Amino acid sequence: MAKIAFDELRFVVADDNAHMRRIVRTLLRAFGCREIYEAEDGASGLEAVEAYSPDILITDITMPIFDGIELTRMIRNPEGCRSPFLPIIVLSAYSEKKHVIAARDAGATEFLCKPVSATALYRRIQNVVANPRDFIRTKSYFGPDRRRYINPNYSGVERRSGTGSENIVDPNQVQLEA
Amino acid sequence: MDQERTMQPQHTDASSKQAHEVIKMETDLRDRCIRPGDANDAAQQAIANAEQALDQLSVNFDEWMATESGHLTAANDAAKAASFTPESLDELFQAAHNLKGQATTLGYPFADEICASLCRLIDSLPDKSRLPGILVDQHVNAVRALVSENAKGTDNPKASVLAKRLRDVTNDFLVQEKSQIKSA
Repeated sequence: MAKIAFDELRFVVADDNAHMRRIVRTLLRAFGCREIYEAEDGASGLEAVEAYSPDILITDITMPIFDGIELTRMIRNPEGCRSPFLPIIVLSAYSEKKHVIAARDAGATEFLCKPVSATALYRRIQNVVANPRDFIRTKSYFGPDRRRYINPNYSGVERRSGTGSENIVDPNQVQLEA
Repeated sequence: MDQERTMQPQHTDASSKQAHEVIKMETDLRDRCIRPGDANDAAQQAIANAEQALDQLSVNFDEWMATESGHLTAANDAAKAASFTPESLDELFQAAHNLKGQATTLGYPFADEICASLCRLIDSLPDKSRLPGILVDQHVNAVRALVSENAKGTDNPKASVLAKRLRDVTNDFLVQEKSQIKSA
């Protein structure tokens, strides 16, 4: 684990609910953050990212104009956004697997389920700062490496090509011809 | 962080057999935001500070909960008046979902459970025209009752029974509806 200098970090918090923004802001300030900007919908979230160049974006999923998943996709567009590598923490009451996968595949760095706790938020920020992942660009994805560990025994389709046509073979399963 | 610089990949293997590119960060937040010192102590202190700050903020929570409960009631009233059109149902779902995300933080975990049950009722029902208005009302009224009775925390037998009963009735109804769809 690493000791984080929160006073060096600039945040944008995008959530359509003012109470939730206040709660997140309160937690961040107590951690030691000094620069926190708020946005109440996806569009103003994108504007805030462009205007303030934050170090970390915390975004809800459900928001007016465009949602947190669309916001993440827009940011992860190197041709259209100045901050495609911005760490993004999705904070949502949608805890179902399909929403977590949607956020991950849009390029979210971390996913945090509401209700938010001080401990969970701290750990996600700590992970974002101390354990950044490489970025991956394929035909259909741009974002942090979705593979958090390498499974040496994986055998199956190589999906990164976006075509599903390449295969990874488990070296332990290869049988040499006599 | 210098975003322009981070866009320059240090290493790629795009030319290799796999059609993907690995981009390693030239600079990252570790360069600027990691400090020497005991990380565990720092984390514990920061988390304790945050919990204390949240505790101080909690003087507002009853008022916020009443506001959110009011939004849920208003959304239900509007949905009923519109005969549960898709748009009005979406508004109702969003109001319940908003409350689901906040209620535990605001001190009302059973309201969280009740809103989760209401969200599931709306979201999982195969034929939305068969949404039982009475069951929706019971969820909305239960949340309102919890707020007006100040039924906070997890140690509240009545709230616990109410939340469980609503969840069970909703589950039974959804199972029944889905089996009817299958057999049709």
